[in-house]
Amino acid sequence: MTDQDDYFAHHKGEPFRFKERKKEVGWLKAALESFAYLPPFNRMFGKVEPSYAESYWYCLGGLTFLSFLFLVITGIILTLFGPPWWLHTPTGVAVKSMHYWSAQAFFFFLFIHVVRVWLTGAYRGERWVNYAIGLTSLFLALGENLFGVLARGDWESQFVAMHSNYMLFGLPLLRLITPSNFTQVILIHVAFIPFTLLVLIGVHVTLVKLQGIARPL
Amino acid sequence: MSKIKDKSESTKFSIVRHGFWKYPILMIVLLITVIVMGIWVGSPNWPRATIKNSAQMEPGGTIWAVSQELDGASVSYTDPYAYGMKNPAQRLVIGPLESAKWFLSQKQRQALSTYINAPMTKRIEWAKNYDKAIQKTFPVSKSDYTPVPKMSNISMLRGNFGPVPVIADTILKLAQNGYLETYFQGISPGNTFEYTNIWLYDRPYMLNTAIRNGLTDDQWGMIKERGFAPGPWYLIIPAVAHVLLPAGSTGPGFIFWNSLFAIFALVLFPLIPGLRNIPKYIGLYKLIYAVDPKKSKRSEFSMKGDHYDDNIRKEHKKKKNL
Repeated sequence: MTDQDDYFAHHKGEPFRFKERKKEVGWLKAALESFAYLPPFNRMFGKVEPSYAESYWYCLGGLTFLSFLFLVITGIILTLFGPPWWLHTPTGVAVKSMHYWSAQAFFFFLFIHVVRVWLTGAYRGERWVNYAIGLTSLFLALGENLFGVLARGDWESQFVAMHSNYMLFGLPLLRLITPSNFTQVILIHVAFIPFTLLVLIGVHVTLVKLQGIARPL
Repeated sequence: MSKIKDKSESTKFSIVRHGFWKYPILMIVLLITVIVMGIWVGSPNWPRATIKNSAQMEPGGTIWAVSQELDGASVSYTDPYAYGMKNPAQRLVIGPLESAKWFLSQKQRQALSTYINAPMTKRIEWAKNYDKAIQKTFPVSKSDYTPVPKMSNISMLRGNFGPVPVIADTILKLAQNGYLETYFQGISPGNTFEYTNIWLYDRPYMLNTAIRNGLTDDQWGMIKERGFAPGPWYLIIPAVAHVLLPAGSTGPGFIFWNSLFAIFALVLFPLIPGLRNIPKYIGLYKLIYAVDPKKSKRSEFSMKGDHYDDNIRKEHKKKKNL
C-alpha cells in the first residue's frame, strides 16, 4: 500500500467491525469511534490524518467551535427572554453567566489554537488563505465581545457605551453605530457578526478538510 | 479490519479515531464546566447607574454639570450630534424643564422664561460665570479624581449668574425625584437609555466610580470588569495599543495601532521570508507533534516538496483520470 492510497483510503467505504475494535480499545472508545463511519460524520471529518496530528493540540480548533455552539445556544435563549430576564432572575443570570463562560472558553481555545498554528507554521503556502480567514474571525469575535458588553445592560454597558462613543464611534462611518442604542447593538451582536462568523467558520472548516493537516516543519 | 491494522503499523498516518472519542468527552467536560461556572461563579452583573442615585450621591456634581451643559464645556459636547441630540443645553436642561413646567413653582417658571427670552450671548455668559465660580469652590485637584463641589459652597455663591442657579437647582430636584430619567426614557430616539447615559457621563460621579474600580484607560480598564474577574483578558493587544502606544487612547490612534498589528499578523508574519520561518528556528513544534514525523517508517515522501499532501492529491487525481 502506497502513502497516497493510505492517505486517501478514507474516501472509500470502509466497514467498521465493532467487535474487533471493542476487543482492542474497549467498549466506550469503540462505540464513540463508530460514529466515524456514519454519514455525514465520515465525510465531515475524514478518517485518516497524519499520526503527528494525533495530539490534543489538534483538538483546539474543534473546541473553539464547540464553545461557539454553546454561545449560539445560550445566546438564542437570552435573546428570546430579554434583558430584564437575564439581569434580574436567577435562571436568566445563570444562562447569561453560561454565555459569559462559553465566551471565556471560546477565546481561551481560540488563542491556544492560534499559538498551535504559529508554532507549527500551519499558515504556509496555500493554507495562508485559511489562516487569514481564521484570523479575521478572531478580530470579528473581539468586536462581537464589545457589542456583547454593550448589549448586556448593566453598569459596564453604560460606561463602555459612553467611553467608546467618545473614543471610537465618533469617527466617520463608525459614527453610524450608536453604542447606547440597545436595539442597534443587540442586532449587531446577535445577527450581523454571528452570521458573518458562521460563514467564515464554515469556510475555515471546509478548507481544513479540503487541504488537510499542514505538513510538518 | 486489515486496513486499519496496516495504518496502525505506519507511524505516518492513522485513522483519525481520536476525533470521535476525544471530542465527545471533551465536549461533555466543557459543557459541565460552563454550566458549573455559570451557576457557581456567575458573571459581571453590576446594577445600572441611575440619574436619581447619581444626583442624590453627588448633588454638587449635578449642579456643576448643568452649568457646563449650558456653557458648552460638558463632555456631551464632544459629540453633540450623538443620538440626534444636536444641542445638549436644549436636550438635557431646557427640554426637561419645559416638559415639567406645569408642576414647577412660580420662581422656577420665571427663571426658565428669563433664560429662554435672553439672547444667546447672555445665556452663555451667565452659565460661564456660574461654572467658573463653582470651580473656585474647590482647590485644583492633583489626583485622577474629578473634584466634586459641595452643595454648601455652591449655595453661598453670588454673582452675575442670571437664572442659571435656579435652573440648575430645578434640574437637580427633577433628577433626585426620578422625573428626569423617566422623561429621558420617553424621548430617547431609538432606545430608552441614550440620553440617560449621556447625562450620567456628563457628571463626575460616573467617571469617579470608574476610577475607584480601576476601569479607566490608564488603569487597563479595557481588560477588566467592574467587581468581577476574569474580565476580557483576550483584549490584551488592543489594550496595549490603548494604554501604552502614542495616541492609542484616541479613536484614530487606536484604529491605526490595531490595523498595524492586524497587517503584521495577517500578512507580514506568515508571508515574509525569514519572519515566516521563525517557528521552524524556535523548534517548539516538536512538543506539539504526537509522533516525530521524521522518524516515521515511510518518511521519504513526506520530506519532498513544500506541500506533500497537495502533491498527493494531484497524484491521486492523475491516477483517477487514468
